[in-house]
Amino acid sequence: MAVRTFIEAVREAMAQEMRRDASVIVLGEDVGKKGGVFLATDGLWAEFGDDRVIDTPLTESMIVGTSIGAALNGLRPIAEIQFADFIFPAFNQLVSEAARMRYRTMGASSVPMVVRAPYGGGVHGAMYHSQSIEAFFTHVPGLKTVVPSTPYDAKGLLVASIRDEDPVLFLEHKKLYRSVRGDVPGREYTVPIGRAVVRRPGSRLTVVAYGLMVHYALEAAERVADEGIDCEVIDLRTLRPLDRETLLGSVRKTGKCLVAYEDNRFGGYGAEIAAIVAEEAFDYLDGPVSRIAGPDSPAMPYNHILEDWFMLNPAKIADAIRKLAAY
Amino acid sequence: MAKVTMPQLGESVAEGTIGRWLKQPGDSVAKYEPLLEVITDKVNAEVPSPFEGVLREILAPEGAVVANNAEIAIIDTADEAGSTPAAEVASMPAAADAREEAENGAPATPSVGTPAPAAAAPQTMVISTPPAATGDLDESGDPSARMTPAVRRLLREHGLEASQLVGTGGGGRITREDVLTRVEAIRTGAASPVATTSAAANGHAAASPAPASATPARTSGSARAATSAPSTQAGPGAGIAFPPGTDEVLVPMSQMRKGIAAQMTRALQAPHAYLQMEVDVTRLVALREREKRAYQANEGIGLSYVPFVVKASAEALKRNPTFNAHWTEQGLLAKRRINIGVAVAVDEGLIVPVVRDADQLSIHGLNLAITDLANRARANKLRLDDFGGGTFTVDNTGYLGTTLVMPIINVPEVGIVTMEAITKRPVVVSTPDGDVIAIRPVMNMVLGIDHRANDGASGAAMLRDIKAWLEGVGPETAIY
Repeated sequence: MAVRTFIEAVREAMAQEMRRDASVIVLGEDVGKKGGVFLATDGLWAEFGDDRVIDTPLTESMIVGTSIGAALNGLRPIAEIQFADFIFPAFNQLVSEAARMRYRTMGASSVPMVVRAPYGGGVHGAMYHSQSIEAFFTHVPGLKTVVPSTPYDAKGLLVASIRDEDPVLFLEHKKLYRSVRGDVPGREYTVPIGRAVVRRPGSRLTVVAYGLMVHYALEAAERVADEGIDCEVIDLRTLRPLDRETLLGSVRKTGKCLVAYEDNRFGGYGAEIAAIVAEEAFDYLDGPVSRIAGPDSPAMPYNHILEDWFMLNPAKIADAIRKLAAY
Repeated sequence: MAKVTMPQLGESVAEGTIGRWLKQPGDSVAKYEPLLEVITDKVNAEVPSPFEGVLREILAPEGAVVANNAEIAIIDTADEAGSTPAAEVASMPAAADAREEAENGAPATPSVGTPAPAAAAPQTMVISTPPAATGDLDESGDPSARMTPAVRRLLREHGLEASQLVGTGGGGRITREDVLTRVEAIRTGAASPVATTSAAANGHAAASPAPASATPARTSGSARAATSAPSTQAGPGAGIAFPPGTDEVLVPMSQMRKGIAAQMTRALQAPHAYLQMEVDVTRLVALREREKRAYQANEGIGLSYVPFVVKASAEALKRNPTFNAHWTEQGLLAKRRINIGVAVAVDEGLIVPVVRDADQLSIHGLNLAITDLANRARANKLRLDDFGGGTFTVDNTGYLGTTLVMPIINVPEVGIVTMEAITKRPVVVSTPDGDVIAIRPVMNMVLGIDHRANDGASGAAMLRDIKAWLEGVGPETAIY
């Protein structure tokens, strides 16, 4: 098994699937000759050529719209949105078309499409290169949203997403691209969509996280472990469909639940988690379901000090854990 | 403007003494912030402020004895605060004087070099969680107001009451861990901090098995058995100093002493009658001797005779319900729940915390509960909920060597049973080959009854049932 960075795992998943299945294509801004601004598609154009690795104009609505049309006609497109911040011109295509196609056609047609979008802050990306967008899309029935946190899961989940018969929004945290390494099998494998995983077993409190926050939550859990607070950390991996079993099982065990998400707090994805826990694990709660999230500021600031203020980090999560544990 | 009234600090508590005002007129006070200390014969309790605002006036100075629900202070509530008239503040000096007086020790003992016990540490228990002591509306002493769903569910599932637990969470809240720890302690006895504290006491009782005596039926926590040592160390007479030229000294009365005096005087109105029986505890002693080492090893606490007597009493009370009752002016007030008080000797005197629903606990469960009560009693950590509601009492002086005590009923209860020393006596035993003289461990038991409520014949029936249970103990008697 080879040690890979997160972005190498993403690249490997696409390359393997493109070799395996000629209907898999890649399209997006600069994904061809340049190999993508993050080099996620580096080498694909050289190997698969113009027909399957397509540089598009700077028009997200077209990227996703074209992908929907291609998917309806037998291809399996992987659309890259250069930064998740730019996905909103394609909001209509994703929400009103892709997500509804199966429903609208009474199951006759589906959209086997993956939209990859690098998201997240803490990378000095400022307003337009730092956003978390999951809250907008996890609200939409018919759309799957996947957020891996490890290279292994990135590859396995991306393969599973490509093979899925319905549209999948695949969110990759930019900060993980080259900062996280892990064992990634060279063989083909999938990680099932819709399954969370317990990254760290614990007894006192459950921390629910996804993406970069999983790593911060694990670090926070280690910090408070010395203080006798034994945290369980759950990596959701798929935001929708949600793995309620793992989530509720953990909270029923620990009695306390902290949801950590990088996005601004109000109406964030973590609010849904909190609501589900409150409704379905009420009798087991030994403290208020709590959220630790970004501030309700219009955007991630560029100023590094303010960016740090905006971003969650292990220390902030550890403080929230302490507070909830002491309830 | 809102009036603060004297909370009722316990079921049987009609009045309290203002101990110390923690806020003075003009001070801001947050809701639930400790406002004053109140002393009763059982506990010292901090009373949290029922309102947020500014303390305008203290109506009951320190040292004053105040009836429940009497107005004791006025608070300008938050929305009107700031309007505190300066004139009102003038009442401060008076209050301060009163405080000084109170602090100097109530009934003057100026010249006496009174030993520490009286003057210093309150003989009473300190309530550590203000909300519990509140006495505010029906929330008084009801921790359920602060229970999380998990705690509520766990208490329900395990048949526990919040009052049996000490909360370690924020603001004294009972946490899930508190309940689970208790449940685990009840199951195994080992881990609970409570059980650990109790170890000393139980160990002591276990160390002197012979005297320990009575085997209380389920609940009544005759803590005294578990208690042991302290009472012999710090009797009321210990360390009295006579200043030169004086032939007598008035020993200051502690609140507990006042309470005991008042309770005993009340009890005098109950016409007592006594019945005494000898209980052959051969099998009980054998069982305990067989089990005690493993029990100590497994549970970390000793196994005394007291839980057996509490158990026997609870079983007997089921068969003799007129003893599980209170006597009222209207007659016998029978009680469904069997809550057995266990007399515990403490440094300053005697208190009788209650093991609730004693009939529903195993020997082990009783032992845990009794040990817990006894230890907390001696550590001044009892809570108001530990008192009151008793329906019968087990009194154990046997470990001190007594063989015949005439116990005073803990009125309004109508019965009390003693555990006397277990002594080896020559007895005539009938065998198939004829009568022989054998050496058997025997414990006297005395049942004190309120003759208004019951007569001698029913008293004998009650005591006979206790005796029968204890003599019926065998190797198969379940500890758990």
